Amino acid sequence: MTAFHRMGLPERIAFIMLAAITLVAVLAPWLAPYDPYLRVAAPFLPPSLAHPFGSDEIGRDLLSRVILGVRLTWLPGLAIILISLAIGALVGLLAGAMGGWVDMALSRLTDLFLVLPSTLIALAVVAALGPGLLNTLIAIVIFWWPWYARITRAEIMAQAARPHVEAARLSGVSGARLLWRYLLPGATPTLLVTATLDVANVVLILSLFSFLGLGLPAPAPELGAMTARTLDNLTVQWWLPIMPAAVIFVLCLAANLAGDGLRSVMRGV
Amino acid sequence: MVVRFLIRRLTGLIGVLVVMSLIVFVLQSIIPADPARSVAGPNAPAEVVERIRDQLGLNKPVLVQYGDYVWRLLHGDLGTSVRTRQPVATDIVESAPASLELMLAALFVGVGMGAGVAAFQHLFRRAAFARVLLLGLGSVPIFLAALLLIWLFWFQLDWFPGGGRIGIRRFAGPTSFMLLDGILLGRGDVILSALHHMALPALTLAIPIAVSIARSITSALETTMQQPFIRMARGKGLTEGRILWRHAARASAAAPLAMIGLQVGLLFANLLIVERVFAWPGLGLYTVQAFASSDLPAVLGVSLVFGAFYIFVNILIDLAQAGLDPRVRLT
Repeated sequence: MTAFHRMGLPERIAFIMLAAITLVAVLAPWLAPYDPYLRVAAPFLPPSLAHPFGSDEIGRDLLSRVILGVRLTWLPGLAIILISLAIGALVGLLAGAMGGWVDMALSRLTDLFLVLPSTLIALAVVAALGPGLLNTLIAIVIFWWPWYARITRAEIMAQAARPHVEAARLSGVSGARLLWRYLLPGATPTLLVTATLDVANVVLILSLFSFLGLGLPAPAPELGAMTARTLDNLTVQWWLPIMPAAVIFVLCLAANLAGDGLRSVMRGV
Repeated sequence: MVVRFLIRRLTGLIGVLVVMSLIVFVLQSIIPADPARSVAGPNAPAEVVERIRDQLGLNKPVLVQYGDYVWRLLHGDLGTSVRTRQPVATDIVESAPASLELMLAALFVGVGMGAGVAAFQHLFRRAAFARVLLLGLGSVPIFLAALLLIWLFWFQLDWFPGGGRIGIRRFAGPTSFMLLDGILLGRGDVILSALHHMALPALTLAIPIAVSIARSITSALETTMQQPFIRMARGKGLTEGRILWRHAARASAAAPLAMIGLQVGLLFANLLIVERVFAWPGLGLYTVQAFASSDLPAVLGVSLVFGAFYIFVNILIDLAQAGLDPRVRLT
C-alpha cells in the first residue's frame, strides 16, 4: 500500500471512510439499532440519545432506516461501477488491441452512447420499464461503461507503442496474455482514479432516481425517496428530509476526497 | 467551411435523433404488453380488441409502424398524455418557457460563479481552499442544496419565496417568459416578482454547473499558462489580471464550453428535482408528475424534446468554441 502512504491525512481519512461505509453497507441489518420497518417510538421525535436521527412520521427509528438506506445506495453504486468497469475495460481492450474494423465498430458504438443525453434516457427507460432497483441499475450501467471503454482504448493505444510491450511481443508473448499482462496494467491507474471519483457521481444519480420515485417501492428506506416523501416536513420536522440527504452528502464527499487523493498521488508517480 | 461543418453536424443530429426515436419507439411498443387490450379495457370482447388493434396500426409490420411513428413525430404529434388528456406537444409548449427561463438563469449564474471561483483560485493562489470547496459542493445532492436554501432564505430569513414562479395573480403575458413579458409590458412589479421567485431555484441549479465549470477552467488555465504567448505577455509587464482576462481567457474557453454542453444533459435531470422542490410549473414538474402517474407518452415525449434540445445546444457550443478560440477549426 505505498500509494496509501504517499497521500495526505485528509485523503487517508477519506479512504478509511470508504472502507467504513462499505462495512456499514454490508453489515447494515446487524448494525441498525431498531427494526427499520417497525414502529418503535412516538412519531416525529426530534433527534435524541435514544434516537440520534429522531423518529419518522409513523414512529420508525430514522437512524436505522438511514443505515439500511446506505446499504441500498452504496452496494448498487459499487455494483454499477464494477460492472461498467468490466464491460468498458473489455470493450476498450478489444478496440485498442485489435484495431481495424473491430476498433472502428466498437469506437462508433461508444461514441454513439457518449453523445446521447444519458441520464435523461436512463430516466425514461426506468420510468417506462417500471421503477425498481434492478431496472435502475441496468439503465445506468448501459450509459456508464462507454466512458471506461474510451479511457481504456486510449491508454491501450498509448501502451502498445511502449518498449516493454514491444519487448514482450518480440519474446513471443501474444494474444490474451499480452493483453492481460502487458497492456491492461498500463490502463489500470487511470481507470482506478476515474472509477473512484465516479462512485460519488453514481451515488448522486442513484439518489436522484430514488428521489423521483424510480427506485424501490414505498416502505423501502432509500435515502433519496425518504427525503422526497418528507419534503413538506422541512420547517417542522427538519430531520426527516435533511438527515437522509446529509448522509448522501457524506457518502459522496468520502468518495470524492478519496478519488481526488488517488489522482494527485498517481499524477506524482 | 462553416457550411460544411454545419451539414456534418446536422447529419449527426439527425442520426442521434433517429436513435433516440428508435429507443422511444421500442419502449412504447413493448409497454404495455398489449396496448390494444389496455385501450379496450380488461372485459372487452376479442373482436373489439382486434378492431382497436387495427385502428392503432398494430397489425402492420414493425417497420411500417416505426415509419408511421416518425411521420407523426414530424408533424409534431407526440401522442396524448394519459394524465392531462391533452396532446403531449401542447403540454410541452405550455410548460417549456418556465423551464427555459430557469435553465438560462441557472446557466448564467453557474458559469459566472464557476469562472469567479477559477479566477479567484488563480489570482490569489488559494488552490487548496478552492479544491476543498469544489469537492464539497460537488458532493451535495441537489435536493439537499434546495432544502438548505429554502430553510435559510425562506423559512428563517424570509428573504425569498420558497416556491412558485410569480407572486402576482392572474398575470399572463404574450410570451410566457415572465421576465421578457415584464420588460415588454414595462411592468416593474412583474420583473421584480419573477426575479425574486427565480433566485433560489436558479441558484440551486447553478451549483453543479459552477463546480464543473470551475474545475474545467482551472485545468484549462493550467495548460494555457504554460504557453509561449503568456510568457510573452508576462514579459511585456502586464498585470496578472489583465493577462488572465485579455490573453488566457479566450484560449482556455474551449474545454469549459464543451463542459457546458455536457452539463446541459445533467441539467435536465436536476431540473426535475428543483422544479419538484420549488413547485416551479415547468417541464421538470410536468415530467415528475408524469412519472408519478405512469404517463408514458408524456415521459417519452419530454425525453425526445429534451434530447433534441441537448444536441442543438451542443452544436451551438461547437460554433461558439470556434468563434472564441482562433486555434479551433471547424472541420
